[in-house]
Amino acid sequence: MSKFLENLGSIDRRYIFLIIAIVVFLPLIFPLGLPVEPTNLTIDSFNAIDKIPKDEKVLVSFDYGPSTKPEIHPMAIAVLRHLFTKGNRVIITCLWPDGLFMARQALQQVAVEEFDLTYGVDYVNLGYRPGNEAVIKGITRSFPANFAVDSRAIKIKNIPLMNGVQSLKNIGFIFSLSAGYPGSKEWVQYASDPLGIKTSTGVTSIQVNEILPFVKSGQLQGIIAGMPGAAEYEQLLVNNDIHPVIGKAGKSMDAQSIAHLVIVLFIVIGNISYFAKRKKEKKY
Amino acid sequence: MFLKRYIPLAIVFVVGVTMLASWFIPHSPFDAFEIHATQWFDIIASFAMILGALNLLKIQSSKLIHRKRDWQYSLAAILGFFLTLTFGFILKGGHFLVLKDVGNNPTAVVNELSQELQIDNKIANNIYAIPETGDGIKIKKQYYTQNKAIEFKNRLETAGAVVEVKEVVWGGHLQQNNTYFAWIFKNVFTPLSATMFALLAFFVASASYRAFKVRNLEATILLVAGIIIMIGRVPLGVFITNWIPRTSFFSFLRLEILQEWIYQYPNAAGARAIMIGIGLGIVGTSLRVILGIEKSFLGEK
Repeated sequence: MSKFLENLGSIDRRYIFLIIAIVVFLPLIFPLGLPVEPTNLTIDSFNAIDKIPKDEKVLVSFDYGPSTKPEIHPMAIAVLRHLFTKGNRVIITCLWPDGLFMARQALQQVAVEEFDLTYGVDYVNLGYRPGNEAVIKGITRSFPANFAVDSRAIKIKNIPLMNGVQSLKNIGFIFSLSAGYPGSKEWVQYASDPLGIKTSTGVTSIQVNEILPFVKSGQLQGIIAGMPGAAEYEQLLVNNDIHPVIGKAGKSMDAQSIAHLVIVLFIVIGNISYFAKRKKEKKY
Repeated sequence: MFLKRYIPLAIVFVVGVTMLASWFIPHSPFDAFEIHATQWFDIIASFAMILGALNLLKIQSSKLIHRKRDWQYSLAAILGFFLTLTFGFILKGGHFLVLKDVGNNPTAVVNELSQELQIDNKIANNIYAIPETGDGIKIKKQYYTQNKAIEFKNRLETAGAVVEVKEVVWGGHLQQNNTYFAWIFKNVFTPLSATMFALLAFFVASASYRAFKVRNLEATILLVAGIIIMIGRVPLGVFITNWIPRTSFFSFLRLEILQEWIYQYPNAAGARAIMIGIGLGIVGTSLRVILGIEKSFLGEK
């Protein structure tokens, strides 16, 4: 028995990989329908967006790429649905080069296919500019100086939505979809805090630690934290009759739940083995 | 010595002090300087990308030429680099048609359009069978090659329409469907990036199993907090402690509430302390650079 317990600590990692693959895969095919309960951080973010007056223009920054797409993209979809349902007009910027493609995909799905909105009037994608926080700092003073054309190479002065948008001071709300640097932190430090623009964010789970102090200080209005946060936001859209069904994040929550449970079980098994070995070492 | 050392130090001092002053003095000429400085930074950042690309080529080429270990990966990196460069700067794709006039037989034109775009005849009719406009109507389908676009153009012209083949503008091609750059991003870069990130789940599982041990009090606190966060953060946490009524005194034991408390209080306190430390460090380092005490950016120790 003691030998068996000791051996539990040296399971070949290929078996661990296989088990994780199975427990992620199975709930995606056979959903369990576990309840998604919105947490305060997500509710704060939802309420902040809900309170934006209809005539305010909202800047949404796509600062993530395909690697973090499963976590952040469902948030982008949910937030855009919320904004467009309310009738807000949206200006998109990207501080990451691949954010441009993420924005394009999200806009195609929500603005074009679901809401049939007009480019340049209801929404605009200004695209990517290199320079990280310098771009944010730049648009606090002047949009045209930093974005002469949009992502379709249309001159910004010819875009109706950009009429009267001289700088970030003309923006009512900022929402940052961020997977790292540059992202939410930089938007708070260089734009929302100096100009007093209300801001909220959606980040990867691993970033929450870093961003949370900004929420506690009131500089950010809530956080959508990782895929669970996205699922909670989707649930809030359903609860408030904004969208009829939950999205990809909500559907992935069963798989993530079971995967987390299995990782915890592995930790427990590892510790049982560790104690068995320690007991043996003490004995001899 | 003067050019290599004192001039750069003087530039750093003047620019650093001016930028710092512009933060506190939002009046002319400081506010204008701030706009110019951020634009200079944008331009320098763009050139930094070129330097980065050249550096990548230099390192990978050296590995390839000298047949160092795993040189095959360097070959893949160089080929990938040039392929992306070609699709970004040379081969665009993204050919589309502009319908100038539907001609005398609109039904035939609409039939061709609905067939090609795979949409209902009625929808095609609503979109395209309208009187001639100055610029014409862009047909919502793009082709990788010009030949494919011309093929469809010929079919429409046979039906009596007046059609023109156009190409997406440079810059716009990074953003449009059916361009080579969009293709490589969607079909190569996206799955590769997603795969790399997805592997993390497997490594996290394996690493937690081997390393997360109850060795002492600190490790035990970390482990318990980690498990509460891991389970409480997902719907399973809600499910496990759903039996505790929300209104009862013990509602704080619900996993989703417990995990949020850990996030918002002990965790936020620790994160804030780290951030303040980093902030003070940045202030110190920046002052050292501005005052010329820190000279590592000149290549000096």
